[in-house]
Amino acid sequence: MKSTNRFKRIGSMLMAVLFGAAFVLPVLAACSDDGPGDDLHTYREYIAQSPTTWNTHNGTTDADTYVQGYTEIGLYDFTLSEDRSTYAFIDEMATGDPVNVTNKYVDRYGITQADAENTAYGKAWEITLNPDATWENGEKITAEDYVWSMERVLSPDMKNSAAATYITGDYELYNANNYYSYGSTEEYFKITAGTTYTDEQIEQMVADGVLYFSFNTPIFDTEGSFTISEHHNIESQKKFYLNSDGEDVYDLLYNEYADDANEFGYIPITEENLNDFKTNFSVLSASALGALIPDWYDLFSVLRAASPVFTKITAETEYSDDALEQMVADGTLYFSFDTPIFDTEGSFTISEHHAIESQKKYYLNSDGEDVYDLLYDKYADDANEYGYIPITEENLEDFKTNFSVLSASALGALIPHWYDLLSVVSYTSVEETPFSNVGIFATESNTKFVLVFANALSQWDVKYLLTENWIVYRPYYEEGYSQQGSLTVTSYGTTSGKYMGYGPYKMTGYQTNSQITFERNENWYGYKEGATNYHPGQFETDKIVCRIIADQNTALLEFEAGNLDSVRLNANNMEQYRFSDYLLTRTASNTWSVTFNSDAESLAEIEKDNQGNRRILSVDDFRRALSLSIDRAHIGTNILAGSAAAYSFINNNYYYDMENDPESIYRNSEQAMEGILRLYGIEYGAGKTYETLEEAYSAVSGYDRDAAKEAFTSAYDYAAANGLYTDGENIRINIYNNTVSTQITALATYLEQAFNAAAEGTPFAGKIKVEIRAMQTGRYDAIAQGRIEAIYYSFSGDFNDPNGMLANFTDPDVQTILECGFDPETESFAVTCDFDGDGTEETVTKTYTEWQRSITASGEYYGASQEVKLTIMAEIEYRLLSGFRTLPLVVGTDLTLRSMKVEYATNTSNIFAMYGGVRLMTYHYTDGEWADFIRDPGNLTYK
Amino acid sequence: MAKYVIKRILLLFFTLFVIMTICFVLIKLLEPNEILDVTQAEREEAIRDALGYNEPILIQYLIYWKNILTRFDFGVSFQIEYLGSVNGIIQDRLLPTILINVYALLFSVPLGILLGIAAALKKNRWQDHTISTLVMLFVSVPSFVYAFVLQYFLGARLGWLPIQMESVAETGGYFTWKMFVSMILPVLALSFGSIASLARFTRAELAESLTSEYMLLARAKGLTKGQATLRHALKNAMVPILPSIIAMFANILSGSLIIERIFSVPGIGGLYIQSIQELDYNVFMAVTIFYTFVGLAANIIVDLSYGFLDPRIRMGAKK
Repeated sequence: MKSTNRFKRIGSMLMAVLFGAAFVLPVLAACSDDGPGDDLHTYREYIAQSPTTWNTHNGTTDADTYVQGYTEIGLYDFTLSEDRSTYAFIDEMATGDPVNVTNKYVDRYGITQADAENTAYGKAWEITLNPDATWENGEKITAEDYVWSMERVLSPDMKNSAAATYITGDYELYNANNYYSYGSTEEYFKITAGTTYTDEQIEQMVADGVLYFSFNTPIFDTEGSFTISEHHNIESQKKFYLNSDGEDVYDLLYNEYADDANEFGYIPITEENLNDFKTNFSVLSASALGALIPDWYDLFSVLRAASPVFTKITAETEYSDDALEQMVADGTLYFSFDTPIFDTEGSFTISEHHAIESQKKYYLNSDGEDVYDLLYDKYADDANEYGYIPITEENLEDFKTNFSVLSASALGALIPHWYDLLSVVSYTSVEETPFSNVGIFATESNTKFVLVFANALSQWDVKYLLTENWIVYRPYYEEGYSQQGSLTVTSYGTTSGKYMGYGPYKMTGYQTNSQITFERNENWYGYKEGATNYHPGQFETDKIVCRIIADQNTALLEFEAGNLDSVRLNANNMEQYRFSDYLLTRTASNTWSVTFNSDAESLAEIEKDNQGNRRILSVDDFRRALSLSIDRAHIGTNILAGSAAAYSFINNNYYYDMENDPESIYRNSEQAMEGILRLYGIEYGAGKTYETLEEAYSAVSGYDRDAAKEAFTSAYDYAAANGLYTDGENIRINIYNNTVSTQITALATYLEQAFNAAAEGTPFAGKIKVEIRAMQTGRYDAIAQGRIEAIYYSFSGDFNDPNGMLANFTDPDVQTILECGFDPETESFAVTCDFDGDGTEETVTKTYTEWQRSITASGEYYGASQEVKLTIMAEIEYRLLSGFRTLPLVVGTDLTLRSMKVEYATNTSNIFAMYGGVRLMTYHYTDGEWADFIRDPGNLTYK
Repeated sequence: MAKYVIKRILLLFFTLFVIMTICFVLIKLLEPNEILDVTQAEREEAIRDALGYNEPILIQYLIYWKNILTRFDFGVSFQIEYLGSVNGIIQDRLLPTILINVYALLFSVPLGILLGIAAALKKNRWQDHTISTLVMLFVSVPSFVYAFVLQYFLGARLGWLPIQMESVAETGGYFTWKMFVSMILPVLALSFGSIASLARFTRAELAESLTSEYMLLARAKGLTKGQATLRHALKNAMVPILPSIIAMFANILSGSLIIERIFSVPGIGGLYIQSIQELDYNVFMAVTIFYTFVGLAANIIVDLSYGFLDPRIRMGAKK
């Protein structure tokens, strides 16, 4: 009894301590919170994940660019105009506008006299640097910093992501791509007597380790070509090239070095084996054969490695048929009888195989003929000097036919693709380019630098490009170098100690996954009275505290408690904050949509899962019916709350002529509106439902159940007649997304209801099933290759480049084309327009890809009038939309709540200057005042 | 005994090797993340090539082992912390995870055992019913539910405690009062489940011990109920409970993905999944090795602890 009492006492005491602590701790916590209590203006915000690197050459995530937004600044920047109604450029790291100096460089950097005479556009632009710009440690920034940093951006050894801007597209710098691509992977230049390398050059190449030879590429002699491998294997050929001891020189070499060959059959030439070759060769040169082989390197197939020329295509490469066809069309695909093919017994070349009877036991077709022999006999004569045979549409078809014989046999598993049968390589030629030939250089004074672009650009385009910066602080950058595989990397911008900024703020604290702190960079010219580009009255914020908060709910609670000054909302929050005075709604450049596979063949493959008919998706009218069944406004209001309905690919945020007209919204152009009206068959004019174009356009909803019903009926007739649908069959549409969320499931449920409601009264009524499936990675490839039937995703582009946005659907060199069943490179259409402005209209036919490229900086209509460009863009968009392969649903929307503590410069977002940013943000409270204000939670009323 | 221990340790390393091998192959078999932008996709492919990711998996694995054996180098991260050493990444994230887990353990073990004892001693009375009902409730409800409730009421509504864990920059370090206070909510969220399961376990074991014949003998020998309970029942009941507490200590190294996310704890919880999602091979492998090793070692320690706690249990003894 006594012991029990003691237990009770101990237990009670412990309980009291624990529960007491639960009440006391908060009190102590409150006491320990001393609060800021000062006159600073601290902006508290959050991001969802830590940056990985804020090195501007490699930082790609939103978190990476977030850091750069405070610590770096462009040569020019966007801000709001004085009346806050539009954007304005402002000089920052540069002073004065870029100057067109194209005429100074005629006959250099690819600049012609015609380029110099073009006054509207220029290829060479001179930028004068702000003389007061410094790194945050106070060191002056010079033109050389820009040039050196660009060399690093484009370094072929580093493969920086920032290089993409300067090696392709409108802003390609002259020769940048050649510099970037050169030396990146193996490329083989055949070295012949005609190459005339000096001995020093050869020695240097040997020292650099870029010289190879091969036993498997052909050597030409008086009796034709042969490879050393062949020679080695076939006794009858051993009659030439004997040394003074009567030994076959090739055999000697083969036995000595064959084991050193790399996967492509090439052996690096080193100082040791070079001497050996010379010695062997000297024996030969003394003989009668000396005239035939005047230099040692004629003895072999000697090649020089540089950037990608021969990239072996294997099953792992996983090129789509479309990609391969494109390469065939581009003439960049080759095969060889002289590079090794690997099979179960090791490797062999077709040349060997052809020559050696004993090997002819495999790969027989149904007629008992050796497939390799057939191919060899047919094509060996077509080989070029490197032993490669161009793959054309004709011989490709032949290979596929030959291969199909094999695939039916047991060997099909061993050779799953036709290109496994051959040594297929892709070939691209890249010129060796020193960086001094790339279009960027500093002037003598080191206060200016010149950019030379591959295409002529307007001054506005150049300033737009230069709102981004690329400079890095050389000492830290180089200090951080390391080698990962053959890749050179740098740890620059991975911690605050390995980074040097030059923007209005400097990073003063960084804890991974927890917090980043920025404070004013006192060395920044913008704060210094009298300095160039001094910005009085701007950047009121003294300090920025950024928490890493992965959970949006937590961030919202912190915001409501006054601990954050902005928070992003999701559709679920809209019920509470829809009418908040602090809600900022900004439509984004992206459009959420569903893309369907429309390729009947691949849909038939998918259908083998017995879940339902998919081939019906290949019927145009069926997809049109699906599109017309959807009430997009309903989705934007009730399912993806806060989103605006989307009826087109290019939404209201795209501007076609920002340089001359900041209000040039593409969507409001006559051509763009006409395109949409044509799509939905809406007419306007006297006696019609709508009198004006604008009136008719504003009535577009994309939703018409009657029209959908008609389209379903017509789709049924077509499908039934063509064996694509059988009465009573269920239709299954699995839409793939990276994840399955409540919202996306609700969307699928809605789509299923909408489709079936519109199909009521047609044979498809109640037959359409829609389901969301999760596929974390691989869904884009899967839809592009026709392995799935539909995906849900968003696409976007630059606000000021509606044509660039269309490239998502038309240019496989820009982005993988997701619409399986549609080939923008072969499908064409005609546009009638006064292209050259001579007053007469011409009709021109081009493919989708060609039309889209025709108004890029390198295109033939880049300099044409805006009318012409709009006509082309609107026609492309109309044609794409009328395929109903991609159905736009809603425009992406950013929803933000700002706190009562701060005031943005505007509540209406501008596409470039947004809400004015930290530059123009002002405060209603100092930190101390705010701490007092939020003590009473009743003061914070956001709902 | 020594032979048994050596055997177990050798088996540990063998199991570790097998798991490593399987994980290495599986992660490398995952498709690389897709990049739609063609230029960036080409660049990504060139990087994969430069980093040797296109080499045969066996070759990659041999290189991986070579680096571990010759330089104890587990590689660097590319996606999670660019060029950060994976050892450093794990170390940085372990401390906050260990701290909240240790606090949670210190809070939950005594409270769980006490509640279990109280319930067993008051078996089938209102105290037992109350504790058992609460235990059922806390065992059944997932910890992230408490986390949301605690965060909303104690953090946001009442403002008694910080809504999320503070940063080191704000608190001056992990071992400050301000930091401790900011950890209370995640600690409570982590503790409720442990308290409930310990209480249930203790109650079951102790209740069984209290009805054992040796308790009757003890009472017959003249011990009071308290003495018999403390010296005999509780001691016997602890044989299965203590190893589970030891196992709980081993688990302090593992973070809770959801709790850490909700309270913004910069811990290790999400690292594993993040490394898979972002295909950060080196981080994935290092975390795999670390946790596999910890898990296997903890198993050995728990198994051995039975022998120390109860001399009747002999490890590796022949019949």
